[in-house]
Amino acid sequence: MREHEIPIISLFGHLLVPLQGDVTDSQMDRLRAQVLERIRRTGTDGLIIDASGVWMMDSHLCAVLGALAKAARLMGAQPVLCGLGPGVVMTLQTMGVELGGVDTALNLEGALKLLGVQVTTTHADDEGLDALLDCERTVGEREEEQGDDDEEKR
Amino acid sequence: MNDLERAVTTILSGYMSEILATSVLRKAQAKIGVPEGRLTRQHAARLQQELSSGVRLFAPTSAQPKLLEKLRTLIGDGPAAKSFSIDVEQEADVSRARLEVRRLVLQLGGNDFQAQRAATATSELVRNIIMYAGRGRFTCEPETGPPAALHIEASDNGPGIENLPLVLSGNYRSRTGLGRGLLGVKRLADRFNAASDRKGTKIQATFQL
Repeated sequence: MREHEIPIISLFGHLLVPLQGDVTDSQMDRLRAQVLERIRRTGTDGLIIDASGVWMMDSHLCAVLGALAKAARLMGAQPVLCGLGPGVVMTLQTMGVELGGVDTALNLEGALKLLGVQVTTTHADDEGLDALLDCERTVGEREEEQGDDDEEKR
Repeated sequence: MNDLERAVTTILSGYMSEILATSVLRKAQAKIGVPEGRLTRQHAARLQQELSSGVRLFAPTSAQPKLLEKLRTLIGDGPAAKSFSIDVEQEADVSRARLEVRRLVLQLGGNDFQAQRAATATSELVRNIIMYAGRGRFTCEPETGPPAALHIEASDNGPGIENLPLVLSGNYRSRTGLGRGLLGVKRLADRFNAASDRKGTKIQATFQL
């Protein structure tokens, strides 16, 4: 049985690797080679490994991730690990397994921020929309007040 | 709501208002992470536990045993948690063993964290077999309790672990990572036993649920 390949996504000049479900050793071995090859080819600035979809992480997976991060750094890409769940973290800590030397972030947004990606919205008329909403709210409130008045009259 | 959910609600509402009955079930399902419409008898063990806390809160004390009995008859205790063993010989067996262990823990009424602990330990032990002995056997024995527990055992006829006491003392750093994994299992487990000589290795670990 051939396992599915873990995707490697290009995102704002960085590479994103989302780990999902049950990650096997052979999947990780292939991923490691592929990621390093992609870094060399594309000259990416950062490597984000998103582990939010991983249901468990043992010492081996942890070691492979650590090695991948180190290799990426050697090639000049900044590695960031993000999305580790509370269960995964507690289990690793109980075992005494450490993942030293890798930058971490709470989630994907945090990882992107860490790599210097800034979010700006391009909706120029956002302000106008807000004003419109405000306006509608005032009208609504006024109508409500009027309704109250009517009731009082009755 | 599916048929099973409707049936549970009907039983509950014989002892409390229908609104309460619905919310007790909804709360119990949320606790075990089963969305509305998805409840099956597979979830019996865990649902039973969560429902009974709702029953204790909202049903009249004298009627509680009867109500719980009715629920048990309806939902059943789920499929009995069965022991299993795997002949370990390739890397795919690591995934298979840890997924099976996870399923068993949840079936026994354990939570996600407990499932993760037992499955992580399983992963370490089965991988050790493949890396250091080539082949071996993994056995998993559930204890329905209460309190429920899960016993796992990994055995092989490999060359054995040379300095087992040192490895388990935590002062040993191997380049291959054997020490780290095994020591991790010892720390994760509630009971742990390891024996090794030149003819093989046997590791046993117990997880209370």
